[in-house]
Amino acid sequence: MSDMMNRATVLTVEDLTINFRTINGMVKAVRGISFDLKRGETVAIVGESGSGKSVSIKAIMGILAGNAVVESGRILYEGQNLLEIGEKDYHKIRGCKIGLIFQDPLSALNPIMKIGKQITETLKLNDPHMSKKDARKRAVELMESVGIPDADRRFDQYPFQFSGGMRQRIVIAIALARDPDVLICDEPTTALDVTVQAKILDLINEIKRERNLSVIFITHDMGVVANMADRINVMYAGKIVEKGTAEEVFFEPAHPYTRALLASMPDLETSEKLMSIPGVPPNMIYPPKGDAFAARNQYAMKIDFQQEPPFFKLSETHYAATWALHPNAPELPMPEVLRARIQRMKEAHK
Amino acid sequence: MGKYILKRLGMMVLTLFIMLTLCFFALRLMPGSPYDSMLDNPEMPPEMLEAMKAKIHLDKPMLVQYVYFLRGVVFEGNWGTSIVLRPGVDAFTIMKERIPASMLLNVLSLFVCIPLGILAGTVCGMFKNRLPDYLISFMVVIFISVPSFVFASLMQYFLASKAGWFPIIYNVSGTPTAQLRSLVLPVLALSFGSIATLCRYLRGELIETLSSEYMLLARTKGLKRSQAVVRHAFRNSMVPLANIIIPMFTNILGGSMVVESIFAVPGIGGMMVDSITANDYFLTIAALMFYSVISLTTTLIVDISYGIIDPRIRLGAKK
Amino acid sequence: MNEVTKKTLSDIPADLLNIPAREFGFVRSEDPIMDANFETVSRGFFKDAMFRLRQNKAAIAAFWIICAIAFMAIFGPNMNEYHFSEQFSDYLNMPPRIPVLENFGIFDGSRLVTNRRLDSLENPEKFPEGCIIGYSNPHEIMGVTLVDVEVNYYKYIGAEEEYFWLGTDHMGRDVWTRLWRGTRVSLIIAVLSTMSDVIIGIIYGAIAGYYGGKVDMLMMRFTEILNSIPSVVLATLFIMMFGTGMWSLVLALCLRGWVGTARMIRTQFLRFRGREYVMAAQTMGVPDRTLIFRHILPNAVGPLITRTMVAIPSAIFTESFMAYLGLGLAPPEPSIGTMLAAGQTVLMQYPHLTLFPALTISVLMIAFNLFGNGLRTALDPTQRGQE
Repeated sequence: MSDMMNRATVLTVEDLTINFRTINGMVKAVRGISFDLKRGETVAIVGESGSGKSVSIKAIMGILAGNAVVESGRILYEGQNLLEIGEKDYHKIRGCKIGLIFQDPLSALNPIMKIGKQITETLKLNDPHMSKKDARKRAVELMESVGIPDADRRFDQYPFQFSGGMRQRIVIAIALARDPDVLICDEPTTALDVTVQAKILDLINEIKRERNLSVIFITHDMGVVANMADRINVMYAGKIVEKGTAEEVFFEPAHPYTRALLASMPDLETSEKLMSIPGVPPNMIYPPKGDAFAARNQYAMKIDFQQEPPFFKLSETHYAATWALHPNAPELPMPEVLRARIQRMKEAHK
Repeated sequence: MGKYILKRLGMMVLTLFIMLTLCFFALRLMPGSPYDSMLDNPEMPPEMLEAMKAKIHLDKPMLVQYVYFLRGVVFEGNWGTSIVLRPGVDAFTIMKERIPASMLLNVLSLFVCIPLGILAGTVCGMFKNRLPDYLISFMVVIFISVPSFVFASLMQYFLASKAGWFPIIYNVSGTPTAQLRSLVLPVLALSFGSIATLCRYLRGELIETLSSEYMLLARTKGLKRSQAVVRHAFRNSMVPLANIIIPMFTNILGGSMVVESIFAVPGIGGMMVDSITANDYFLTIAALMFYSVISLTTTLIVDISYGIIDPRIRLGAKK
Repeated sequence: MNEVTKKTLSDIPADLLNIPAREFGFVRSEDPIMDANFETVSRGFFKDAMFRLRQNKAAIAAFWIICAIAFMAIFGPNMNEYHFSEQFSDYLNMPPRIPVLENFGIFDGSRLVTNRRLDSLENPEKFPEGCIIGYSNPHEIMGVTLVDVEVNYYKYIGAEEEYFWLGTDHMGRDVWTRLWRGTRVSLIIAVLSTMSDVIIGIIYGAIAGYYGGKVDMLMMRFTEILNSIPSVVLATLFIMMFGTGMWSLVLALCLRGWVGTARMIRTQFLRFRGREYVMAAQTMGVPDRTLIFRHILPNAVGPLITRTMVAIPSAIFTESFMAYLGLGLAPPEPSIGTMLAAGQTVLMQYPHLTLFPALTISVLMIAFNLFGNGLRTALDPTQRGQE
């Protein structure tokens, strides 16, 4: 734990706020989030779709859509604020220092360009004078390192000749081609079969260890997070509602939304009915006052609808923004299902 | 692939045969005859007229005429002879004289509209919903809407007749430069619509590819925006373009029927207009068949080229 | 578990700590939370489409232009005292002249008559009093000075009382009356042919799509053959066979148009036939006809409207095109196409005969295309809720 705390910080996001102009009004997609990423660790951002996690990482990559407006905040990488540097300097970072793995490998590869070309194209960005032969050799090595069998032959094939999992491996190879420090994975396994999912996750963990990468891992699936993350940020309605180490968030969830997420996570042992989260996410054109999750919280308190909760500190690393932690708040009952589940997870962890 | 092409060729021959038959009977059932204008001619005695008819079998029952005609076409390449416009001259010979002018006009028009259309479409796609896009899109609506023959008439009056910048009609016998100059207006009139079509199509394609995931990947690899656009978006948008450029040729050819006659270009179009008016049976059939062959061929080429250009189809992927 | 809930609150501001306990009462504990509707107003598909259409200013402007032209097509021919086939053999190829406007130097019935003897200008027999506006280009040929004279043509030929708003044609017929009458005819032909194209297309496509299998294959093979023949060639043949009447033109125009509609309808059928709600209705014994008209066809309304709006201008175009080929409507009935084709032959001398129909057809085509584009975007389901 202390080892983790002492590592150098690679990337810091401070008070990032992003809106989207739409025909119906400003959509407040990200509302002042802050988190940091230390060398060699995996930070997960967990939340349901529309919670603003993908938008945040698009902001980091500098590929926000045209109608996005960054209202405030800073994204610090190697001492520069990525929101302020020009397109020219961004080239030295995007792809080169920070790589990105997409959610949907099926559409992420250019359908009419050979796989090999798509990798060598990336390699040549680092070394424009690389010979064709070297580039090919290097690309095939890369393909082998992400677990593509018969890489030399597959170099000349097109994306449609690859399965979903294989395509995701190619996307990973492309992200790794320029030896980045930071790898951002945007729901890398959502579009894949469950059996393939585990393999891709293993691959990401493996390359992370080998290359000492810092990983930001975006997902809506608590189950995936458990095996990947060192630290977890839980996002809801454009805000981070709870952050802490993986153990803290899994074993001592404080925010009602985190608890709901954990309770709704399927696992093999649970014999009771799975709990789903009632209600729908809020309309982000008019985000609710107070705690955004209150409307879906069975134990919402009066103040939840009136005032936004601050971060309550639970430990040096564990914070949660919920009024339930206020000294005057009544005890929040923990669902029995969840209690039992956490107990099991703890045992398994030991 | 080979089997597919053979099958398509077979279909094409069948279609052409049906067309030929349709043409023959349609023309024959049409009120009026090529000899109408000669009937009033006092120097043309009726028996001479009959003799003329007999020479090209027009005196026989229609079915027999058809058999004669078909036999001529299939076995001798004999498409009949002109009756009114150039009496006695072989229709095929007349076609051969006429085709170069039409082709010149159409190929020149393609040379104008492909680069301009691609340029305009690229600008629109890159500057989507910004000023250049609005300006060009406005022009595109006009170009697509206003028929080529209206452009032809307007330009002929204002640019040729009033301003005197170009000859009013096609210069058949001048120097190559003079000839080319006299082709400027007809080529322009024919090109506007195709430029607009091409521009609109490419704009849509580009916007789609620009917002695709693989463009995002290209950007996150670290490619410059311009590099990503050229290598990924542009290339991918060009693939379906072949399928619009080839039929464009047929479209321009169709439009040129009228534009040719407006500018007196000695091509197939002008000849067809004249032959329809004069009831010159065999010439009309020849012209109509010419357009049909071109149209069928281009459709075939498009279908085949789909397979050649797109690796997904070429390598037999299931879409 | 309980030990985690309340811990250090060191960095919480004091005023937050002092919130009284009553603020922390549970608002609900028993009643379940239902899945609420999204808070924005939900709009039906067509209402949504109308909303998006109304946002498109160009399309709305185009709509009103179409209305205005349709209005003129209905009432224009009766706005003056002339009849569309009435021939004034004394007044051939008169230039346009409109009261009031003539005082501003446009539509004043002026025309340039060329190569007149300068000395004849004084002669009231040759040039009636007050008809000369000016002359230019004096040049001498064989000792005689010739000039080009700009005259008020109406005074020049002694027809001062007449006002042919848009002039007359080579047979002395009023262009204004003919133009609007021609617009009316062209519009009727276009609308009728589009309607028949839609009706035939729906029936054909519905049968092919509904029954599928061999029927579908045969029917589609037929449309393939038909589709491979260029439409102009097909229309030419048809008109040659059946003459240049209005109905023959209408049919010639929809001869190939319906193929597209049929294919579209068929695709819709193939898509919706397998849907659960259709199968459910089928198992409940709903007759084929009800199934087709009540359950499947309504899905095709959007694309159908779009097709119609695109088909109308293309029919107007083809009608004019046929007129240029000499296969236009039989005289004396005018159409925009026949007027254009006739005007083209005397374009250099009497440009007004071409100009006005050219302008009308251009404006009409632009308006239809703009409106059609607007409709297409508005009715495109993928465009819902987008900027």
